[in-house]
Amino acid sequence: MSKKYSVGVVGAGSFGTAVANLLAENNHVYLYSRRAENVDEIIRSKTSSNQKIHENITPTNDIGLLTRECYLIFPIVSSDGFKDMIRTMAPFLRPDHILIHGTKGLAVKKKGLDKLKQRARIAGKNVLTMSELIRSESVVVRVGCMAGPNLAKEISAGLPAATVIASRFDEVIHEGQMALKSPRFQVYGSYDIVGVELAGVLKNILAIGSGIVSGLNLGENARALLITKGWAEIIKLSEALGADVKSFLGLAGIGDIIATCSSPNSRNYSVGYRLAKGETITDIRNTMEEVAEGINTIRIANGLANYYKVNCPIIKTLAQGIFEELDVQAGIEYLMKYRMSMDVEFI
Amino acid sequence: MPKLIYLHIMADQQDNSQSTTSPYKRIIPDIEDWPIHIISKNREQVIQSVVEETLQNIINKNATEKDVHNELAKAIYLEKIRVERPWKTDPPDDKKFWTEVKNKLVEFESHPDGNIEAEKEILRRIITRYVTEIVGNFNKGTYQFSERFVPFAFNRLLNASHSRAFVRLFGNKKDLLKSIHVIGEIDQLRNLAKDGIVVVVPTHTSNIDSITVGWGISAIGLPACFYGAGLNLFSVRFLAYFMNRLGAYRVDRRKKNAVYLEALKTYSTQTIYQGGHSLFFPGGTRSRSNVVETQLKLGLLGTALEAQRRQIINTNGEGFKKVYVVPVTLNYGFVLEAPELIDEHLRNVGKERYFVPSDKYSSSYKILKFLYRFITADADFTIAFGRCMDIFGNPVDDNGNSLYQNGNVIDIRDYFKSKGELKYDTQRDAVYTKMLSEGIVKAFKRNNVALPEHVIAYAAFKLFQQKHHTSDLYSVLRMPEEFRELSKDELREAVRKVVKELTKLEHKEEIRVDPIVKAEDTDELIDYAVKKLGVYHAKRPLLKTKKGMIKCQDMKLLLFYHNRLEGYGLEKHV
Repeated sequence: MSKKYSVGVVGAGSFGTAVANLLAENNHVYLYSRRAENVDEIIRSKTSSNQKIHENITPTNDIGLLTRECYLIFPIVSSDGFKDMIRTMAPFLRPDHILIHGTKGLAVKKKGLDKLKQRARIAGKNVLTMSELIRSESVVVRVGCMAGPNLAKEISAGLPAATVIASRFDEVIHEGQMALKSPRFQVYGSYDIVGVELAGVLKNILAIGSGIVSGLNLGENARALLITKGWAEIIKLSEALGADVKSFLGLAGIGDIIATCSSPNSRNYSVGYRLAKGETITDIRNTMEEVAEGINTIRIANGLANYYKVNCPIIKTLAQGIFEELDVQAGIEYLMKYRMSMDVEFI
Repeated sequence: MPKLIYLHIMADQQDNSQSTTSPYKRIIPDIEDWPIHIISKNREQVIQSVVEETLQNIINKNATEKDVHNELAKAIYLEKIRVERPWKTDPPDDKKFWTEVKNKLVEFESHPDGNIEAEKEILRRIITRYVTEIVGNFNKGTYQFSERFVPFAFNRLLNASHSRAFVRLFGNKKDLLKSIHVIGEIDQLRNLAKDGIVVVVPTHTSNIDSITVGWGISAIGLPACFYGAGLNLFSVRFLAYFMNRLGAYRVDRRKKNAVYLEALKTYSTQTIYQGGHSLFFPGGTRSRSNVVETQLKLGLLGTALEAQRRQIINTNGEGFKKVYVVPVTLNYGFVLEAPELIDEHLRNVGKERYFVPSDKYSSSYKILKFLYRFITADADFTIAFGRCMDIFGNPVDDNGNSLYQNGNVIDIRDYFKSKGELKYDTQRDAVYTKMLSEGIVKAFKRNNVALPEHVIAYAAFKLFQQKHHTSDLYSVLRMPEEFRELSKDELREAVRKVVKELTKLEHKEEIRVDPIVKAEDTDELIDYAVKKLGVYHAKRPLLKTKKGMIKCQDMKLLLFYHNRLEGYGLEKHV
């Protein structure tokens, strides 16, 4: 019987803590936080991001210790901080480390950022998914991602759920499954890492849109319209980026949409809701505890759609509403008058 | 910036132990000490070892006896089909052999019990037949003779033609006067080949590629490589004589059954594992379109990975030999079989939309005629050696250390470990092989050399496309002859833009550019390239008319040469 190693979680936000608690049912877990005072606070209060932590969890501020003790590591930090995090870890990482991230955001290369801001256009080569970021910034090759309907609050409340782990490597999927699965948590596998990542990332666009629909009391018909047609736009866009459509029908796609687009527990949903109630995006950003990835994602997706000339009226309207202060009513009017063609044309 | 190294032909420094064309001494002076010589010395032993391992691999890969039986039956069935249309190189008893083994198998099938040992025997017979066919030989005397003969041929080419252009463009610069274009990271390669195992992976456009690259390897002082050559090449007796003795092993693309492929891979793995430098064309077959390969075959690449894994696991990670992969880009300003290649390419991608004319270029040319044509043709060619990489596609430094982006050294043993222990994992290795192929594809693109012929063909084809106002390739190809003319002014403008962009790309190390392309006078470049482009084709891709216009006689050929610069985003700048 080979030695049982600890599992690492990098990032003690709400989802990171929820995943650490899930892992702790099967393993000893090191939970890393960048700020030493935060680690002290977690140790003192036995609570992280308002969640009680499992007794198998050791909070730590020592990334060297975590990478030495753990072969399997789950980096779960916001996409803004992801690059810094992976750069901090990189000197300690080796090719036999397995990294399964749970971050639903995209990174933009410096080169693409200016064009995105000035001309709302960006080429795919200047946008990185988190697994691509890990590959480009470290020596790690055994990379995976976890995505699916995983609202942190429900997981920490012990409710049943499932996730999908995507990787090119069987070993990554297998190790992820062994570490995470429990009677209340199912773990599926997939080889289409780009598809699963993009599905998880891009669905946040619709979560914000869905929040707007609720804030404006536009009704369930409107929500269904937004989600169905918005999802078709997202699939067309992702195909242009090389993803497999199948992943959009799975847990990371449809599964996650159903959860986030109807739940006030979702951060992105609440961004949309507050926007509809008249708050500005700056106010909302300043008062949120954790980053809502969807805001940046809308800008990037709109830039990609413009670059690849994929027709995405819903994404475009949302981007204009958030970044160019397009009036909400004018946006709805534009979409309702938009000349639509056939219903399903993406499969 | 990777330095450009020119090999100067130093006729006055002839040395009998050394190729006459190269300033590089052999890294291992005595041929008898070369890995290929040592490994090939005992051919019978090599065959036996490959047979036994292949047999074991097939048994291991098939979960049950029934699966082994099915694999065997399938191989025999496919071979029965193949022998119906024999090639000249097939042994005369081929049909008899396969009928016999088929009958044996049928006989055993009627006895339900206890036939696994008997079936294994049939399998062993088949594998032995395959391996005996595959395994090459290496003969010191033949190597020495060919080493003198091939440079002689190449020297003729270079002295007779290439240098004239240099005279015109560079005046009396004697240094460049007698140059051959072997460029790239030669010092690193020579250095690493001393202790490591080198796997050379060139691009593939022409039947003469194995000769060109084989000569290039000898010119830079490397020992000869094991290399896989298509069985069809062995049908030319003259070539077969050399290839049989120069380390070439036979690859028969008709045999696609699992037993044959396993034998081929086992042989390749064993030679690399034993330290034999090897060469294979990872594109699998000649690039029909002349586009630099973007999709590679993973089978033989996987054997290099497997050899590295064995080196590490069998030495328990201590004192293992490292395998280095060397991407090589071969570029020709003239490819004799271009008309056929581009026709095949268009047929494949265009299906029914492409009408193939009936008076097709004859396919019955002989390799010798072909070689002669190449040697006497007035065309440019270069061999560009890329930086060595490890088996995972990571770049390596001059000491052979694998590096990753920030310059830190990687311990490659870790790639084969799981939870700290060296472990065998075929699926993981398959992903690694894919990673390596991605690394090679990128290196091919970076090392591709833009020759004058490519630049001119690219600019001209793009101009025709623009003039035709359609993006439909097939209608551009069918453009009536009277429209296929360009003025020198418009061509000059387009060439200038392409060259400017190429220079920028070269600066970013995204391509290499031939020095003639960068010469200041665009008119001279155009004259030079138009004159040389596809000079021996019956119909010229580009030709100067009496009125001073540039005319295209064959749009497909123009497309073929133009394709070498596709994929760099140059079209935005014409």
